Amino acid sequence: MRPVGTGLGTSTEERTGETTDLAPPYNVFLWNDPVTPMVVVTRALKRIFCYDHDRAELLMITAHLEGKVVVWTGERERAQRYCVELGLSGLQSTVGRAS
Amino acid sequence: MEEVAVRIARAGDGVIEVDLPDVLHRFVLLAAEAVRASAGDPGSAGHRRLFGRIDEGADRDDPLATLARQVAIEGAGTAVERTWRSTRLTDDEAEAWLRVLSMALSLRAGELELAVEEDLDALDPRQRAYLEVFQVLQALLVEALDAPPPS
Repeated sequence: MRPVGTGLGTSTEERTGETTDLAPPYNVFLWNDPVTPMVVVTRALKRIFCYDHDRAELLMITAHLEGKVVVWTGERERAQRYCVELGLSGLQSTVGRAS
Repeated sequence: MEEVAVRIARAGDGVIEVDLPDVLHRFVLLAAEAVRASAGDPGSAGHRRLFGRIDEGADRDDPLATLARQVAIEGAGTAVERTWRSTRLTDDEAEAWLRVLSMALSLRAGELELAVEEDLDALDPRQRAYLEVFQVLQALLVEALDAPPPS
Protein backbone atom coordinates (compact mmCIF):
# COMPACT_ATOMS: atom_id res chain seq x y z
CA MET A 1 0.00 0.00 0.00
CA ARG A 2 1.19 3.49 -0.65
CA PRO A 3 0.22 6.93 0.59
CA VAL A 4 -2.20 8.86 -1.52
CA GLY A 5 -1.33 12.35 -2.60
CA THR A 6 -4.83 13.46 -3.38
CA GLY A 7 -4.74 16.61 -1.29
CA LEU A 8 -8.26 15.84 -0.16
CA GLY A 9 -7.39 16.23 3.52
CA THR A 10 -5.36 19.36 2.95
CA SER A 11 -8.26 21.12 1.34
CA THR A 12 -10.28 20.54 4.51
CA GLU A 13 -7.57 22.18 6.56
CA GLU A 14 -7.45 25.14 4.24
CA ARG A 15 -11.19 25.51 4.24
CA THR A 16 -11.77 25.21 7.96
CA GLY A 17 -8.54 26.66 9.33
CA GLU A 18 -8.20 23.88 11.90
CA THR A 19 -4.48 24.33 12.48
CA THR A 20 -2.48 26.97 14.26
CA ASP A 21 1.10 28.15 13.87
CA LEU A 22 1.99 26.48 17.19
CA ALA A 23 0.88 22.95 16.38
CA PRO A 24 1.88 21.07 13.25
CA PRO A 25 -1.09 19.63 11.40
CA TYR A 26 -1.91 15.97 11.63
CA ASN A 27 -3.50 13.77 9.02
CA VAL A 28 -6.18 11.19 9.68
CA PHE A 29 -5.54 8.27 7.36
CA LEU A 30 -8.38 5.93 6.49
CA TRP A 31 -7.16 2.50 5.44
CA ASN A 32 -8.95 0.32 2.96
CA ASP A 33 -10.45 -2.88 4.25
CA PRO A 34 -11.92 -5.54 2.03
CA VAL A 35 -15.02 -6.37 4.05
CA THR A 36 -16.83 -3.22 5.16
CA PRO A 37 -19.61 -2.35 2.69
CA MET A 38 -19.03 0.86 0.76
CA VAL A 39 -22.29 2.36 2.03
CA VAL A 40 -21.09 1.92 5.61
CA VAL A 41 -17.79 3.69 4.90
CA THR A 42 -19.48 6.54 3.05
CA ARG A 43 -22.05 7.00 5.80
CA ALA A 44 -19.35 7.05 8.49
CA LEU A 45 -17.43 9.77 6.67
CA LYS A 46 -20.60 11.84 6.23
CA ARG A 47 -21.58 11.46 9.88
CA ILE A 48 -18.18 11.95 11.48
CA PHE A 49 -16.81 14.75 9.30
CA CYS A 50 -20.09 16.23 8.06
CA TYR A 51 -18.92 15.75 4.48
CA ASP A 52 -21.47 15.81 1.70
CA HIS A 53 -22.24 12.56 -0.06
CA ASP A 54 -20.02 13.17 -3.09
CA ARG A 55 -16.98 14.05 -1.02
CA ALA A 56 -17.45 11.08 1.33
CA GLU A 57 -17.90 8.73 -1.58
CA LEU A 58 -14.78 10.04 -3.33
CA LEU A 59 -12.70 9.50 -0.18
CA MET A 60 -14.12 6.00 0.24
CA ILE A 61 -13.32 5.08 -3.36
CA THR A 62 -9.82 6.56 -3.09
CA ALA A 63 -9.10 4.46 0.00
CA HIS A 64 -10.50 1.44 -1.78
CA LEU A 65 -8.32 1.94 -4.85
CA GLU A 66 -5.15 3.30 -3.29
CA GLY A 67 -5.05 1.50 0.05
CA LYS A 68 -5.38 4.59 2.22
CA VAL A 69 -6.40 8.20 1.99
CA VAL A 70 -6.13 11.34 4.09
CA VAL A 71 -9.67 12.08 5.23
CA TRP A 72 -8.96 15.04 7.47
CA THR A 73 -6.08 17.31 8.45
CA GLY A 74 -5.91 19.49 11.52
CA GLU A 75 -5.04 19.63 15.17
CA ARG A 76 -3.82 16.53 16.85
CA GLU A 77 -6.35 15.88 19.62
CA ARG A 78 -9.21 16.30 17.22
CA ALA A 79 -7.50 14.00 14.73
CA GLN A 80 -7.24 11.35 17.43
CA ARG A 81 -10.90 11.71 18.30
CA TYR A 82 -11.86 11.32 14.65
CA CYS A 83 -9.69 8.23 14.52
CA VAL A 84 -11.61 6.78 17.47
CA GLU A 85 -14.91 7.51 15.74
CA LEU A 86 -13.76 5.75 12.60
CA GLY A 87 -12.69 2.75 14.68
CA LEU A 88 -16.12 2.60 16.27
CA SER A 89 -17.51 2.31 12.75
CA GLY A 90 -15.30 -0.71 12.21
CA LEU A 91 -12.81 1.21 10.07
CA GLN A 92 -9.05 1.13 10.39
CA SER A 93 -7.43 4.53 10.64
CA THR A 94 -4.31 6.18 12.00
CA VAL A 95 -3.02 9.64 12.74
CA GLY A 96 0.25 10.94 11.38
CA ARG A 97 2.03 14.22 11.19
CA ALA A 98 1.30 16.01 7.93
CA SER A 99 4.43 16.71 5.91
CA MET B 1 -38.05 -23.99 1.13
CA GLU B 2 -39.81 -21.49 3.34
CA GLU B 3 -39.03 -17.87 2.57
CA VAL B 4 -37.41 -16.04 5.49
CA ALA B 5 -38.16 -12.38 6.14
CA VAL B 6 -35.07 -10.21 6.37
CA ARG B 7 -36.12 -6.60 6.59
CA ILE B 8 -35.00 -3.52 8.52
CA ALA B 9 -36.80 -0.33 7.53
CA ARG B 10 -38.08 2.93 8.92
CA ALA B 11 -41.77 2.69 9.69
CA GLY B 12 -44.44 5.33 9.27
CA ASP B 13 -44.17 6.35 12.93
CA GLY B 14 -40.43 6.98 12.58
CA VAL B 15 -39.09 3.97 14.47
CA ILE B 16 -36.93 1.38 12.76
CA GLU B 17 -38.76 -1.90 12.34
CA VAL B 18 -36.75 -5.10 12.43
CA ASP B 19 -38.15 -8.22 10.82
CA LEU B 20 -35.50 -10.90 11.11
CA PRO B 21 -35.51 -14.61 11.91
CA ASP B 22 -34.48 -15.49 15.45
CA VAL B 23 -31.12 -16.74 14.26
CA LEU B 24 -30.21 -13.26 13.00
CA HIS B 25 -31.35 -11.59 16.21
CA ARG B 26 -29.02 -13.99 18.01
CA PHE B 27 -26.30 -13.21 15.46
CA VAL B 28 -26.49 -9.55 16.54
CA LEU B 29 -26.23 -10.55 20.18
CA LEU B 30 -23.21 -12.74 19.47
CA ALA B 31 -21.57 -9.82 17.66
CA ALA B 32 -22.01 -7.66 20.76
CA GLU B 33 -20.61 -10.38 22.99
CA ALA B 34 -17.60 -10.81 20.69
CA VAL B 35 -16.87 -7.09 20.75
CA ARG B 36 -17.20 -6.84 24.52
CA ALA B 37 -15.09 -9.96 25.03
CA SER B 38 -12.29 -8.54 22.90
CA ALA B 39 -12.56 -5.15 24.57
CA GLY B 40 -12.25 -6.85 27.96
CA ASP B 41 -9.21 -8.98 27.09
CA PRO B 42 -6.14 -6.75 26.78
CA GLY B 43 -3.96 -9.66 25.69
CA SER B 44 -6.08 -10.64 22.72
CA ALA B 45 -5.56 -9.85 19.05
CA GLY B 46 -9.11 -8.52 19.01
CA HIS B 47 -8.26 -6.02 21.73
CA ARG B 48 -5.26 -4.85 19.74
CA ARG B 49 -7.51 -4.36 16.72
CA LEU B 50 -10.15 -2.45 18.66
CA PHE B 51 -7.64 -0.47 20.71
CA GLY B 52 -4.80 -0.25 18.19
CA ARG B 53 -2.39 2.63 18.44
CA ILE B 54 -3.97 5.74 16.98
CA ASP B 55 -0.89 7.91 16.71
CA GLU B 56 2.23 5.93 15.98
CA GLY B 57 4.40 9.01 16.14
CA ALA B 58 3.46 9.87 19.71
CA ASP B 59 4.66 8.44 23.02
CA ARG B 60 1.08 7.55 23.82
CA ASP B 61 -2.40 8.20 22.53
CA ASP B 62 -4.51 10.95 23.99
CA PRO B 63 -6.00 9.43 27.19
CA LEU B 64 -9.31 11.15 26.48
CA ALA B 65 -9.48 9.50 23.05
CA THR B 66 -8.71 6.13 24.58
CA LEU B 67 -11.34 6.62 27.27
CA ALA B 68 -13.90 7.76 24.70
CA ARG B 69 -13.29 4.58 22.76
CA GLN B 70 -13.76 2.38 25.83
CA VAL B 71 -16.96 4.15 26.82
CA ALA B 72 -18.40 4.02 23.29
CA ILE B 73 -17.66 0.32 22.86
CA GLU B 74 -19.17 -0.47 26.24
CA GLY B 75 -22.21 1.68 25.49
CA ALA B 76 -22.88 0.11 22.12
CA GLY B 77 -22.43 -3.39 23.52
CA THR B 78 -24.80 -2.70 26.38
CA ALA B 79 -27.41 -1.20 24.06
CA VAL B 80 -27.33 -4.23 21.78
CA GLU B 81 -27.49 -6.71 24.66
CA ARG B 82 -30.57 -4.84 25.88
CA THR B 83 -32.33 -4.65 22.49
CA TRP B 84 -31.20 -7.66 20.46
CA ARG B 85 -34.66 -9.24 20.59
CA SER B 86 -36.42 -5.98 19.70
CA THR B 87 -38.47 -5.55 16.58
CA ARG B 88 -38.67 -1.79 16.94
CA LEU B 89 -35.57 0.33 17.44
CA THR B 90 -34.92 3.99 18.04
CA ASP B 91 -32.28 5.60 15.85
CA ASP B 92 -29.77 5.47 18.73
CA GLU B 93 -30.42 1.76 19.21
CA ALA B 94 -30.07 1.08 15.49
CA GLU B 95 -26.81 3.08 15.50
CA ALA B 96 -25.58 0.82 18.31
CA TRP B 97 -26.49 -2.28 16.27
CA LEU B 98 -24.61 -0.88 13.27
CA ARG B 99 -21.60 0.05 15.39
CA VAL B 100 -21.42 -3.38 17.03
CA LEU B 101 -21.82 -5.24 13.73
CA SER B 102 -19.16 -3.07 12.13
CA MET B 103 -16.68 -3.66 14.95
CA ALA B 104 -17.44 -7.38 15.05
CA LEU B 105 -16.91 -7.62 11.29
CA SER B 106 -13.61 -5.82 11.67
CA LEU B 107 -12.60 -8.29 14.38
CA ARG B 108 -13.49 -11.18 12.11
CA ALA B 109 -11.49 -9.64 9.25
CA GLY B 110 -8.54 -9.40 11.60
CA GLU B 111 -8.87 -13.02 12.66
CA LEU B 112 -8.97 -14.09 9.01
CA GLU B 113 -6.07 -11.74 8.17
CA LEU B 114 -8.06 -10.07 5.43
CA ALA B 115 -6.11 -7.03 4.28
CA VAL B 116 -6.95 -6.73 0.59
CA GLU B 117 -9.80 -7.84 -1.66
CA GLU B 118 -7.76 -10.73 -3.04
CA ASP B 119 -7.63 -12.28 0.45
CA LEU B 120 -11.36 -12.95 0.16
CA ASP B 121 -10.68 -15.40 -2.66
CA ALA B 122 -8.95 -17.72 -0.23
CA LEU B 123 -11.99 -18.03 2.04
CA ASP B 124 -14.18 -21.07 1.95
CA PRO B 125 -17.87 -20.57 1.13
CA ARG B 126 -18.94 -20.81 4.78
CA GLN B 127 -16.54 -18.09 5.81
CA ARG B 128 -17.69 -15.87 2.97
CA ALA B 129 -21.34 -16.46 3.83
CA TYR B 130 -20.62 -15.56 7.44
CA LEU B 131 -19.10 -12.22 6.39
CA GLU B 132 -22.04 -11.59 4.06
CA VAL B 133 -24.48 -11.85 6.96
CA PHE B 134 -22.71 -8.91 8.61
CA GLN B 135 -22.70 -6.98 5.34
CA VAL B 136 -26.39 -7.51 4.64
CA LEU B 137 -27.38 -6.42 8.14
CA GLN B 138 -25.09 -3.38 7.94
CA ALA B 139 -26.53 -2.33 4.58
CA LEU B 140 -30.11 -2.72 5.83
CA LEU B 141 -29.36 -0.66 8.93
CA VAL B 142 -27.71 2.10 6.89
CA GLU B 143 -30.66 2.24 4.52
CA ALA B 144 -33.13 2.40 7.40
CA LEU B 145 -31.18 5.03 9.35
CA ASP B 146 -30.75 7.21 6.28
CA ALA B 147 -34.41 7.00 5.32
CA PRO B 148 -36.08 10.32 6.07
CA PRO B 149 -38.44 10.33 9.03
CA PRO B 150 -42.11 10.69 8.12
CA SER B 151 -43.26 14.25 7.77
